[in-house]
Amino acid sequence: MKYHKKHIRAKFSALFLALFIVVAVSDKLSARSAGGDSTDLIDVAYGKQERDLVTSSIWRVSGSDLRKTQAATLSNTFFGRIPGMTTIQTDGEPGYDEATLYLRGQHSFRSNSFIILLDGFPIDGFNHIHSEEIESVTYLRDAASLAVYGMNGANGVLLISTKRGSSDGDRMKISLKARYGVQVPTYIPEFEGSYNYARLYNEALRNDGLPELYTTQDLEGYRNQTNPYYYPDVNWYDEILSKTSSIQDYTLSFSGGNRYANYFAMASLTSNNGLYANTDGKNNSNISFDRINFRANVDINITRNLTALVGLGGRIEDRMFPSGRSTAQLWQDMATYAPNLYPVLTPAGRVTGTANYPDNPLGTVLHEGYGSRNSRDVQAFVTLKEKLGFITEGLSVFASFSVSSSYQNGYNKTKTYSYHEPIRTVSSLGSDSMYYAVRGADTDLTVSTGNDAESNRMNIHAGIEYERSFGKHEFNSLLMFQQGTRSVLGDQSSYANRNLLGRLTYAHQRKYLAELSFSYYGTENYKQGHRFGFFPALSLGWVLSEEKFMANNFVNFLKLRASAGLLGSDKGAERFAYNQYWGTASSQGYYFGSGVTYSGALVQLSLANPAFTWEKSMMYNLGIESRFLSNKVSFTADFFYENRYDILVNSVQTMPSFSGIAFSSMRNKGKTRNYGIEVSANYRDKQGELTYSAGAWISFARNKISESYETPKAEERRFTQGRPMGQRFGLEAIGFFRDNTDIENSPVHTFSNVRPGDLKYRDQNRDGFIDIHDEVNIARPSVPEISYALNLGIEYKGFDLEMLFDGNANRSIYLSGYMFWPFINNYNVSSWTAARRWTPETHATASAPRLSTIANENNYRSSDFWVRNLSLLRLRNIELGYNFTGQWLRKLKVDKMRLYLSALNLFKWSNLDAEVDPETLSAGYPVLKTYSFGITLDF
Amino acid sequence: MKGITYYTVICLTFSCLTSCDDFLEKPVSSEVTLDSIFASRIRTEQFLWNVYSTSSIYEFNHFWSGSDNRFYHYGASGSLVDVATDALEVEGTYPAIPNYMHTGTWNASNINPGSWAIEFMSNVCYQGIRNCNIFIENVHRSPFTDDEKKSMKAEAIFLRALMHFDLMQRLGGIPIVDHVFYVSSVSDIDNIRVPRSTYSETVKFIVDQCDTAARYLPNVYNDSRYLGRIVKGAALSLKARVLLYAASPLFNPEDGQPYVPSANSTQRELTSYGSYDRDRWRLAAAASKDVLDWAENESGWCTLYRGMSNPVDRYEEIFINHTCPEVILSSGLANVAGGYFILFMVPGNVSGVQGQSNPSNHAVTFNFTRLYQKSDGTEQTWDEAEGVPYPYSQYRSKLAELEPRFHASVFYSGTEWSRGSGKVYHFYETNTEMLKNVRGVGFMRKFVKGVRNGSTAPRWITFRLAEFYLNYAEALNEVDGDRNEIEWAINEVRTRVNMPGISYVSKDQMREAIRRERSVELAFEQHRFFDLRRWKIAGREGLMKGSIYTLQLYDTKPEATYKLEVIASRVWDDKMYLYPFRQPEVDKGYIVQNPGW
Repeated sequence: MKYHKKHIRAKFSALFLALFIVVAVSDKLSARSAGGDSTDLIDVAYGKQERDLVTSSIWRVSGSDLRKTQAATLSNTFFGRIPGMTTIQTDGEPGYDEATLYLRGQHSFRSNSFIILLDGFPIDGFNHIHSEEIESVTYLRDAASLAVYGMNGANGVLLISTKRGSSDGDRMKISLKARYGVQVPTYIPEFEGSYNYARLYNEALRNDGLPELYTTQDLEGYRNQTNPYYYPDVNWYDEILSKTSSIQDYTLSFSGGNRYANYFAMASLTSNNGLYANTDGKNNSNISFDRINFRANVDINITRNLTALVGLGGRIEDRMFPSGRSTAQLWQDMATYAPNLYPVLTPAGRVTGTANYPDNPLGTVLHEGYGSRNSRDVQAFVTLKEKLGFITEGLSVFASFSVSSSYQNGYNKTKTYSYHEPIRTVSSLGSDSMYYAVRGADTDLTVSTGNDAESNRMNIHAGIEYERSFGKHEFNSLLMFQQGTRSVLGDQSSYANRNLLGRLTYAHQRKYLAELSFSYYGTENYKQGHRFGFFPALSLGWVLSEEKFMANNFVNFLKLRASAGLLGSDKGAERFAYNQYWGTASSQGYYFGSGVTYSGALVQLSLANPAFTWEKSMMYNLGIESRFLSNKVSFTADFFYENRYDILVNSVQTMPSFSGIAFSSMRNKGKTRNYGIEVSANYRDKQGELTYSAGAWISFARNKISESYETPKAEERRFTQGRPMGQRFGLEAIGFFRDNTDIENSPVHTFSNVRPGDLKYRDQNRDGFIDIHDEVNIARPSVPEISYALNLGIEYKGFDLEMLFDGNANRSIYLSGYMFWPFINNYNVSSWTAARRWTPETHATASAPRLSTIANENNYRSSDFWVRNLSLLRLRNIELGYNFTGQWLRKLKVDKMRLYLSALNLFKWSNLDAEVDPETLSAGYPVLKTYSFGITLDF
Repeated sequence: MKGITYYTVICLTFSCLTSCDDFLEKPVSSEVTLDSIFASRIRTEQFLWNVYSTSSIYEFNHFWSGSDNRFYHYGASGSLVDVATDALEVEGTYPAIPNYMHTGTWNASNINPGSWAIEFMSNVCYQGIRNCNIFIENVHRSPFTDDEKKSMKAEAIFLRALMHFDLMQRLGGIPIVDHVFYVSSVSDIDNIRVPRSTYSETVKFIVDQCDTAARYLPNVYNDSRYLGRIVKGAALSLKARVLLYAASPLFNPEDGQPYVPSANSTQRELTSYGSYDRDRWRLAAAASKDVLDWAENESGWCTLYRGMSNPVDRYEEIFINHTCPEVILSSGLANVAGGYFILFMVPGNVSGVQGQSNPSNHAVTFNFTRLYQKSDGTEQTWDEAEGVPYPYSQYRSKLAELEPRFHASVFYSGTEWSRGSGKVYHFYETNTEMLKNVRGVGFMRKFVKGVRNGSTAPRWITFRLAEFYLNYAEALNEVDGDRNEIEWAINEVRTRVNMPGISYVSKDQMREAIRRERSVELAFEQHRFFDLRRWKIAGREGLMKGSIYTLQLYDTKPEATYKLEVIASRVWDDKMYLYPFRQPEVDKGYIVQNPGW
């Protein structure tokens, strides 16, 4: 990776700064013990604040809470922990199973991506940071907490803080943790066996007016299974998958400190395997994900006033997988290959296949080698802080420098194999016979490398803090400069930003609170003179419980707060879109001459956007925080309202087509609104040796597109404007066609020639035709509007039990594809569809259309028939532990030993009638249940 | 003391970092701008090829690879447009015409819903026009000589006119776009809501542009690499075709009545002249004569092709040989389009090439076969009763007697696919070649003479000289021109394929003869689809409406038989004489929709 000179210059200037300071102060190393952090402090942008005095909307979840969920991927520990965050699990493939996260729903129809800061610095991926290295995760939700991030702020920010050592007790703490888990799929869909498949296929052909394919003799052969090579009946899941897979995790950490320095160091090994059976890791491979994390955080007290904080963390991730087909494709093959397609192996044990279906799933897994992705990430920072008490009490300065680097490459060992195509014949004696034609060739393993990816980041912070109390007045202020670059392998231009930010916090008698913050933020992506934006926010708080009139035993704490501010988002924009570019486009060119003399062409690319700018968001938040009954009960609620504008829209959609613009013409014209609420309550009490706790939260976010600049449509009901983002449109199904008379008496369904058993739609515009003009908005948004969680805990005499439920509601899912639409492309038929299909006999009770072997344009199109409103609740986590105590432990020099059993995703309840996983719809690698056993030893 | 040092360092760092003024500057990178295009000869030419690529006429719409279809706006999905006429039927997965045009279910919404089209993408035509306009407005800056610039500009002017014609022949009067629309903000959109021009204004615009282009275009390019570049004859040809269309009954109705009753006078003027003027035929005749004169006296190369001794080979050669001197303008099908063209045009699995799994099986109907005379110029006897079996030998002998152009254009049962190969196919017994499912008398073989999948695609012919003999004859007949001249024009075309000449008996007899000759000579070349419309006869039974017949073969014993059968029934509505404007355009509120849609 080549660096531009200026990056090197910037790096060096920061390095020199650090070195200079170290040298300058080294002669005066008179160490002083640093004061320990109060647990009442929580992370805010570039600092910490006392929780009860915070005027912005922030949710902090501690690392110890996240660690209760035994998952290899960090975002999978977020489920149910963070009010305002919606978590959806869409994949269970080891190493690729991260959750999809939404922060307060959706804000922009352009991009909702948000940034994640690790110890204050942006990073590329956070999913494989180990939960053992995390002190806390903090979700900044409102304008007051986000304004200092300028154009990075509007979609929300997650702060991750890593653990740091402390000098409590002046002795090293060693912790060893080990966990072993067994994983099983939450759901494997069921498909019909060969006999039913053939029978139903014949029925589908009859329905289409085509001759039957399978004879009575065939059906009998499939039914009695006396000749499984001639009449195969294969369940591919059974052939490929093992019943369980393993997951393991081992962590060793050290922490401690003295008056010179505090430290935290850890190393961990995580290993997560896939479900494919009989792999050997040499000629082929199961899916596997192995990860090593390490971290060393050191705080050095150089002088009484000068502290250096060093953070160094990194990880090695190695992933392996069968390379013949993508994981999604392999799982599709297993689901869709008909049971009678071919036997898995020939009698001689060779892999079968046909010209149309050469990818026998067994061959894909065992005979095509493997691929791998190997990535390395490292992130490091140094911060120097100096108290300038000699100038004035409470004044300090700081400077930080951070680098991070991610690198990935792929190493594949692949080969091909010859497959044996079963050819069915009839022997001279008239009996069934078959032989195998050899196709393709066996090759040796071939090595290839590629899929390189690299990203490097560099960041500098420098600033002044001033924190002081004057009697009833408390001030806390920050003025800081930040600049960062990010270069990505293959990009012509690196990303760069600069930010001058500040924050002034004031508290009067710890009762009346106010905070003003701002950012003056610019990036390289906008035109000179239009690069910087100013983003201010104001928040106010009133601690009523400090007022005399509220003094009582019932209410321990009560605070009201409000915030408003302007935020920005530069996410999802084309780069340098203020310039007009010209270039080559696919297949653009012309053939002159009598041969194929191709003359390449230059075309006008997307139209320049001279006023190119970032999205803006006016965000308002009202909140209440309270504690009652001797702090046993706590209650928090937040209400937010956001007005997003200047979202990029493609103005070609509203332009007469004779403008002739071939590509897009983006303009900052879109607008949305988003509002919602988060409420959470916790209760914790103790009776003798029994401690019990319960907590619950619910969040709701609803959005609406208020300016869409979409192509005008004659029917208001087909507009996305005025509706939530991701609104689905389609026809309204009103049942199945009973018979031909019914078809004749109904509006003309124009998508294909309909037959009895096909879906019948409502003619919304009553023009006698069913076409796209009859589409209406037919569903809720695809992102849940409601998320909620409930946790329960009990501790008794060394035992502890925790249960975490989480769920979501108010969303729609759309049933489509091979799970629900049988026989298209010769796909298999699921048992669910088979049981519900329309036939003349079951017309009254059927709940799926007639079977058909053709891509039925009438049935298999967007309509409310395939839409389901989904509500989902799962027992996300349950853990039972026992803490051992006693002399025998002490003799082993063990402070504490804990054994535990836990289960992840043990139960899932939903209102979905289809027999599939409600989140993945059983496409791709399944979501897993994990049963774990673990031990923790503290020395 | 130390603290002050530190403080100073931080201040210094601040000033250092903030003084790096170029920190947020866009780095230098390899990007092309309008200025850099027209500052370079090569890039200026590359932009002109873009103009060609987006403004040329291809019969064949290939919607086959997501990124490739953007600039191929012409023709139907998966087939030739003449599939919508009585000439052809298809059998295959991809052709869209049978599902929409044959059933009469095409409409303003589904004609071109955005990413694909049943037939024709008007929005993409305007993308070509925009490119023409950008070139026309900027070529003066390029480092070419003044003459070169004029000539290149004339190419873009011609292509812009061609795109307007392309739109006009389907839609009537259209919004004329003769300059680049600059849209720098959303409020500019209001300034470009140009309404439709009347039919008369649109014709005038195209004709004027042709006149301008013809003034500067060369007669020939002396570099064989530039085969397919626009010559003066192309501009004359477009003008001649436009004036012929404009004079025809659909647009120049003798009774002054529109094709669909419309009380709206604006709508009438948008879709036709709204009145009859015989002089329009005179202008059409003169313009066609200009093309013939240009070929004869000025071009130095353009002539009816008369090579090859066998008339079947001779006619076939026009479509196979890229350098045939009869072709005034042709377009090279891009590699992908070309590959698909062959893939779709070759019937069944007759080429025996793996991967040809989805041919469109263009079949020539019996309705159209009847238009071919016997080689001696007399009529074939077609006395078969519907549904009655006749011997296969009679099918073969009757078809064998038809004229040379039939044999060059139709691959029927009992003949070779690749002529001269000796391999004869009897369709009813083909298993591997899958020719059994033919939906007509035989398969179309024009354009793809015995080719195999993957071989070089033909160039699609936009203008060839034979058309202008027939245009001339047709127009001259309508203005009661010189009989000898009419006979000469039509018989030039006939005698070229060794067919006996036709004599003038009456204006009506001659009109029918010319129309029939045109059908046969220009078969499947994207003429009939528009000719039947402009003659205002598309709605007649057996043309674009009603029953389509075939001679169906049966593998009976001892001898195979054939029956006259109805293979398809077509739906027609008079509103279909012109296309609808796309619904999204109408919804934008600046377009008056054509009547009936």
